Amino acid sequence: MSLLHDVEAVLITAGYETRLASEPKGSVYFEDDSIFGFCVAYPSVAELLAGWLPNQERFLVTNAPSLRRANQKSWNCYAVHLTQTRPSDEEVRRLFEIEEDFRSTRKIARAAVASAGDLTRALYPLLPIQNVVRIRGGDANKELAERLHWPAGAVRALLGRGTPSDILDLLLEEE
Amino acid sequence: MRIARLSISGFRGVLHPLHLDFPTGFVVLSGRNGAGKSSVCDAIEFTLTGTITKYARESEKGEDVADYLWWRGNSPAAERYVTLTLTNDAGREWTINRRPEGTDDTALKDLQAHVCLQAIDPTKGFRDVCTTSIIRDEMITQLSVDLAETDRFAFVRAAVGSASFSATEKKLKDVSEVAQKRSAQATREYDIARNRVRDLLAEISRLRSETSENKDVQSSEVFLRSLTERPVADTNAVLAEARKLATDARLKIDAANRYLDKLQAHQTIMEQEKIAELAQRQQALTESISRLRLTVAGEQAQLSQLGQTIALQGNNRSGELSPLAQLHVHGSSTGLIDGRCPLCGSSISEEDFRTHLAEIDRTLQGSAALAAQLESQRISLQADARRHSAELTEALLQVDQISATVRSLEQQSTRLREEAEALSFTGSVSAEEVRAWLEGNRRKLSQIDRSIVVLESSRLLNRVSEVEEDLAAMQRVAVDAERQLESMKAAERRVKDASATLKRVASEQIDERLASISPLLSELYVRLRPHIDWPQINYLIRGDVRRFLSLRVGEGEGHNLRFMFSSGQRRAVGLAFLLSICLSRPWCALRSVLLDDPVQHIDDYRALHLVEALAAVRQSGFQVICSVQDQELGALLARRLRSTSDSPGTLIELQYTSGSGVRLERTAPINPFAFEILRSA
Repeated sequence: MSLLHDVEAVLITAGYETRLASEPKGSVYFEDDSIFGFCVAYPSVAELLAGWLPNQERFLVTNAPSLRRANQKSWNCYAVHLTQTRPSDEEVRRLFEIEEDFRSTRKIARAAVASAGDLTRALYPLLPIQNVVRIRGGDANKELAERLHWPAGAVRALLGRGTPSDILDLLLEEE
Repeated sequence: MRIARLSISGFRGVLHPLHLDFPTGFVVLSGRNGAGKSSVCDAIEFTLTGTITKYARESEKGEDVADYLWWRGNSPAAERYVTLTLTNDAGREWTINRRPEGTDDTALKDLQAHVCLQAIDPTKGFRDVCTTSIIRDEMITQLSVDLAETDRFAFVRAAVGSASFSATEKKLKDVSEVAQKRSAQATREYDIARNRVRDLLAEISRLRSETSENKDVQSSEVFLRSLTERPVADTNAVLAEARKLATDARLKIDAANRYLDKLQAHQTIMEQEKIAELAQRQQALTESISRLRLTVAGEQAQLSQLGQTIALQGNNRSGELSPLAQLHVHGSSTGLIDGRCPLCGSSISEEDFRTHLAEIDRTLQGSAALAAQLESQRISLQADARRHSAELTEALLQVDQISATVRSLEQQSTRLREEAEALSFTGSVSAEEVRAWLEGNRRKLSQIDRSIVVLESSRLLNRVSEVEEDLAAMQRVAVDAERQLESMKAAERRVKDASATLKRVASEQIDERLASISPLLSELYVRLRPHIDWPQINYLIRGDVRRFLSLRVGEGEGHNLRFMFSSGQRRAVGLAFLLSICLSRPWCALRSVLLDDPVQHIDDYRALHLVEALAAVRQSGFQVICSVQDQELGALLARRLRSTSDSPGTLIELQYTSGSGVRLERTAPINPFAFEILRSA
């Protein structure tokens, strides 16, 4: 299922280890040094709404020994339920209720995950900051120098230690 | 750079020394209200800035936060200080200690130089660091959603920093001033040169006009040289002499003209007066005077003689005739008395008596007639004498007048003769002779003038050549000045364009920086999920002069979430906003974000989202320091913020004890978790 492949790709990129699992059926397990969980992709919102809880139970039962060993980490268990189909307003409300249910696992229940962007947004709770601001700094003078269209000497004098008279003389030289 | 340690004593709610170690990963501070969680943020801000911003505007009864910075409990503090240690990735540490008496400014400046990257924005200081690094519960909405759009823009702009070209801008302004001064000087020089060119052109035109006629220069110079009494060297001397001659001739002609006028007037008078007749009249008058003198003398003698006769006759009448008249009157009135004369008593006839009375009457009348005749003669003689005297006086007067006229004319003639001699006329000169002289000299003067003009014209031609050379030189100067001026104007334009470019680059960089925050804000908004129906936030910058930053939800124009969201939802938006600001500071080397109880009024679901968002921030390399009241939430943060071996975290519990202030209840390092699920499976 391509959605699950995409999930794996996103999570691996974010530093998780992943593997396909059979319990729940067709799920992807993921884990890093802080959190772990599983992801299931559903054909429809209705199947998601019907299947999220049984699937969660299957995961917890299947991994009960490990969860017990994990101690504090076991609190960081994520159950991710995704579908590409669009939800009705009522379904949106019910998906929201799933997420507000804090029992056993932290749930991510999202529908209409139709694009890479949708998937990334759905998985934000598992991911580091995606839109890190890369603000240019320190090269303002370089850009200014390029856009002044002045003789190189005049630019150096302007941005360096040239006096106003020096700068003007250098400009006039070209004139 | 991150926060490494904090020591507090006698500050705010901390009485006894409190030492806190901050691992590079995260710190979760937990404790009840008043346990001292906020004092940690306050201490960090105070160490760096010397104040606590959240109270900066507050004062009451003359007191403000400065009066409550240090411990004010009943037991005095043994020591009062705050000490903050920061460390960078290389392990270098900077420690700032601040006490009531102040701090080491040198160390503080050194630290600031390492925290606030001057190369990116030299305007930034620790106040900016603290405003954007410390997210306090009470400031979350104030500094975000509740800010006016313009203030929000200003806040974000200040936070992201502006590419500062202030030094370059100042230098460009100075260059512009120098260019303007030089341009003004070049303009003046150009104007001077152009004015001189105009003057020279006008002079050439005038000179050419004066020399337009073709003159015989050589003959004129020969003529003028012939007039000079002494030999002269050059044309200038000839001209000087000629001008002198012309002046003298002009004066002489003027004098001759005046002399001629006088001469003509004199001759007219002489003609009018007919001087010969005057002599005849004078002679006749003289003779008449002689006669009149004799007549008057005779008449005076006659009058004298007649006077004596009249006097004599008068005496006679009064002596002899008076009694006779009385007798006549008496006799006439009385008549004969008894045939007797009443006068002599003699017997007389009436007839004789009347005859005698008639004789007496005749005698008396004859005497009276004589007296009247004599008087008449005297009156007539006196009239004649007066008339003759008057005639004599008149004749004498006329003679005097004629003599005066003659003398005057003679004097005038003498003066005219003298003037004629002064004008070099010999002897008596006639008006005709003077007119002839004038005519000749006018012709000569005219010839001198013409010759002078011819010579001067030849000299003007030389002057024209000189002026034309001057003009050509000055035109070259003007062209150079114009070129200089154009260069200066072009340089001025380039400087002006450079100023505009500089402003544009700075503005674009700010816009780029502001715009680059938008995706991060959107991500954090999605992560914190404040409102189920509004999954996206719109971050819009608008306005040219006044800039606005609006946060809206929904399609198109959208809605102002400030008036739509609950306080908890607005706080979630505010957290997204402030976190995005903190993560977007290119000028700030401090990679720590401090949150003081950020989850108040936020439900569990959104608190969980905040924890997850902070975990993401932490994963991005930031040190997260977060205080919470709820122990469960503290535990969740400690688990979720991801403690790793190279970047561990810790949980610190604080407690407040009455009288002793804040104390450290527990420090629990958070150990990294093992891979249990996948690997064990």
